[in-house]
Formats: sequence, structure tokens, C-alpha cells
Amino acid sequence: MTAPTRPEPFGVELQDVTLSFGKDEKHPALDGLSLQVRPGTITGLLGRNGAGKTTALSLIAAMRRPDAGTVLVDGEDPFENAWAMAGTQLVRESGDTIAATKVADSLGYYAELREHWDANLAAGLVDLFEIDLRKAPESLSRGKRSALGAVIGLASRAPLTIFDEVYLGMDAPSRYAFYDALVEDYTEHPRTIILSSHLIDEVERIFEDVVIVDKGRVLLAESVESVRARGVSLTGTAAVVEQFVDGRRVLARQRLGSTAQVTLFGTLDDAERAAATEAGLELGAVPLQDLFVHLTREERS
Amino acid sequence: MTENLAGPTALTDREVQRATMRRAAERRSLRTSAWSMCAGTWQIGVWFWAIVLIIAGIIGYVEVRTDILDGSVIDGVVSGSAKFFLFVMGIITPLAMIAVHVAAGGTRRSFIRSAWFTAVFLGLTFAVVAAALGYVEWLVFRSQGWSPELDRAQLYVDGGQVGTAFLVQLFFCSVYWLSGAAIGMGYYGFGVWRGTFAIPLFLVPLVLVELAFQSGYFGRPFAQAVGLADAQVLTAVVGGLLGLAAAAFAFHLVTRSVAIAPVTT
Repeated sequence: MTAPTRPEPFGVELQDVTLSFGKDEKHPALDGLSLQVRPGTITGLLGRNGAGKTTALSLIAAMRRPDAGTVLVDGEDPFENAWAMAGTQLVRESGDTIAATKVADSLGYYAELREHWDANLAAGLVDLFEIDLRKAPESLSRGKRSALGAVIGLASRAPLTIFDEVYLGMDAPSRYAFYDALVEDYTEHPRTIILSSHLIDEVERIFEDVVIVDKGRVLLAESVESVRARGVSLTGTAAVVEQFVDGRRVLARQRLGSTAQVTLFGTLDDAERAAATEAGLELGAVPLQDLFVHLTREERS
Repeated sequence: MTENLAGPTALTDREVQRATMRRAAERRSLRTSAWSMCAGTWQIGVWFWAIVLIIAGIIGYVEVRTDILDGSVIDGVVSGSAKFFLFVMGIITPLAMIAVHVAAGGTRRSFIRSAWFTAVFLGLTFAVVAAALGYVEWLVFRSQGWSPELDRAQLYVDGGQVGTAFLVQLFFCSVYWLSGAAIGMGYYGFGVWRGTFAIPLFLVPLVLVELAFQSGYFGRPFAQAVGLADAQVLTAVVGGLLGLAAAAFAFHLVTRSVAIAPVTT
């Protein structure tokens, strides 16, 4: 018997998608949202609470239907589409499991349905995260349940794998173990990964593309390099830094003794860069988190 | 020229490959879901039958010792409880499975089909056990010279009519499980208020099957009230099939587009 052919990574496209949960809502959960996810990339989906991230991901994974607009996964409408659904794995927080039976039963269910399920990887990750297979998911701690979700997402080897705030309750070592496992497995088995997280500082290093949503709309969708090029950070003596940034749009300020670090929105031309370097300032890329805070704050104000 | 020819050919191959994988995925998810629901229900079902036997044994022992034994004991315990046990399991089981099924890449369509299969499988297997227990009891009663007749059954008079007893339990168990499943999914999809208001609709299949087979406390008065008291087995089977089809349709209706909420623990 030959192993099943591994499908190519899936791309995702949402066009003008709208979804409301009720008439009482101030604004729809998704309000004409359009975005594209390139196949074979790790894309970060960022947004404040209630921005519409989870709703958008639910549509991609065919958990529900939009009120209007088009959702395409690998070029097809994913809703009740056996091809798209079999190739998409959404892990919502702790993952969807059979809550009252053993963890092993839930993993067994995924193993049966997921054509490319890697049982060895699952077993290794269960050991790594110290998950008790004999316990019911509902009796696991919050962190262990999230780790179980991480195991499901990684071992599924789905052409489109989505982690929606899967880190909740996980301690720092577990989170970093998850990030490392994700990058390692992604390198060996390329696929499309969407990662939604509030811990931007921790995960930005693994993103290739970034989508920022707010109030059900996309604020920004670019490669990480492009995003970082939207700003610059300057580090140096506080007085020099302040003198240099005077009149510019400042996203964030940090100060430690006489040293200051400032994040600026916008780019510096070659002459400005040279002047900054000559003034003893160190130039760096803009932290994604600063840009995210700035963009979402500006949108809401 | 080669490029012009390669385009359509490649597209066709891709479509064929996808169609094959779609069918394989549907088969895989139907099989897994059906197996999980059947095995999960039977894991608890074993305990149900053990308790049924213990209760029937105690009742039989007491009735023999006090000399009030008057007809089948097993039928009294099984007829009322098996279908209600499956009704409750029908509410619980699909609710526990739907989120993990869709999250694992299964379609609602395969889930619906697996639920239909599960209903019939559970109906068949529970009916086999019920009919077998009734038959064994009938043999014991006859050997002891006790009356094996049933108190309330309409289509068969004692456990010796194994085929009819099997048929009655098959329809009751299948329809009750599937109606329970429709009620559970109704609450899941519509929410508490609308789910509650929809209950009378989901109970229509139960009314049909009770009318058709006239067993238990409800069926016989129902049938008398609508002039079906003298219905024969064939008529009952037609009514049972209608009830099964109605329950299957109700479950399909509430599940086919249901939004999948995350599992919360």
C-alpha cells in the first residue's frame, strides 16, 4: 500500500465577507472583510478582542457560512466541501475534542479522519507537553488543553492549518516548545499556517505575512518585511533621540536611565539614516506590536 | 501547441484526483463517525442491558415468591426503557461528536449519514437483544408452566413471536434515537428558546411510530383514538418507515448547515 500523495499547501481568499450575529450588535462581526493568504506561508492574523479574527477563521474552516461575500480555500467554497474541509485544520483555543471521554479517543478520531495524520509526531508532542492520554479533555488544566490543541494542529499535517489563540493557559516553556515544534515541522512539511495570537512579541519572528483586522475589516495585509519597513526604531542617548524625532510620528517610547528607544511611523531616507547614525543612534526594525497598537488605536479613534 | 493541449488535460486530471479524494474523505468520515457513535452508545448500552436484567430478575423473583407473577417481566422492563434510553443517547451522542467531526475535516453531510446509519444499527442490535431476552424468558416461562403473555403489547402476544418482537423494537429504537438526535441538534443550532419551540415538530416521528406499533402506555390509546387499533403488522411497518423517514429528515434539516460552536470544557 502506498502512502497518500501529499497535497500542495492551500491558499485562502476572502472577498467582501460580511457576517452578523444579531440585530443588537453595534457593528457586524465581519464588515466587508477581504484578505488573501498565500499558500505555503506562515501568516499572522492579528487583531484586538472582538476584531473578527475567530469569525473569519471559522468561515475558512467551514464552521459556519457568511451572510454575504465569498470564501475560497484552494480556489473552492469550503462549506460542505469534502476536499477543502479534509485539507483544513482549525484549532480553536484548546481544540475541538470529545470532552467527556479519554484524550486518546479524540486523538484517535483525528487520526482516523486526517489522511496525513502523523501518529509519531502526535505521540512525541504528547510526551513533550506531558499530556495524560487517559484523562478526559475536560479534566485537563487550561494549559494542557491548549497543548492538546497544538498537538492536533501539528499532527494533522493539513495543507491549511490554523491556530486560533492556541497558547491560552500555556506556560512560557510550553509556548516556546510549541513555536519550535511548529517551525521545525513546517520546514520539513511545508504547508499554509495561519496563526492568530495576542502575544505578538513572541510569535512575530515566525511570521512571513501579517494580516491585521479591526472591527471586522482588514487594516493591513502585507509581508512582514513590508510591515517592518513602515517604521523604524531609534536607540541612543535620550536627548539625541528626542532631538531627532522632533516633529515625527512616534508609535512607542521607552526609556532606561539616559538611554531611550523610540519607534517611529514612516521610513527614513538615506540622508536621514546617515544623519541618525552619525548622531550615534542605532537604527532597527519596527516591532510589529508597536505598529499593531498604533494602527488599531488610530482606527478606533 | 503542446502548452495548449497540456492545460485542459492537466485540469481534468486535477479534477479527477480531487473527486477521488472527496469520495475517500466522505467514506472515511462517515465510517469513523458511525463507528464512534455506535460503539460509544453500546459502551453505555452494555450497562443498560445489565441493569435491565438485574431489575427484571429482581421483579421476577419477587413476583414468583409472592405468587403474583402474571405474564412477561422482561417485556415490561424492556419495552418502556430501551427506546427511552436510546432517545436520551440520541440527544447526547451527536452533540458530543459534531464539533470534533467537523474540526477533524468531516462534512455535516457525512455526519448526517452516519447518524442515519447509527440509528438503524442501534435499532437492529437493541432489537436483537430485546427479542432474544423475550424469547429466552418465554422458553423459561413455558417450561415452568407460567403464563408468558404480555400485558400491553398489541402486535405480538408473547416473547415466542420473536420476529414481530424484533420488528417492533427495531422501529421504536431507531426512531427514538434519531428523534432524540434531532431534538439535541435543534437546541444546538437554534438555541434554547427556538429549540424548545421546535420540540413538538421533532416529536412527530415518535407519534407516528407509537401510532403504528401501539405498544406501551401511549401507543395503544393513541391508535384507538384515531381508529387504528386493528392495524396489522404490514400497516405498522409502513407507519414505522414513515416515522423513521420523518426523524431522518428532521435530523438532516437541523444539521445540514448548522454553525459549529467551539467545544468548551
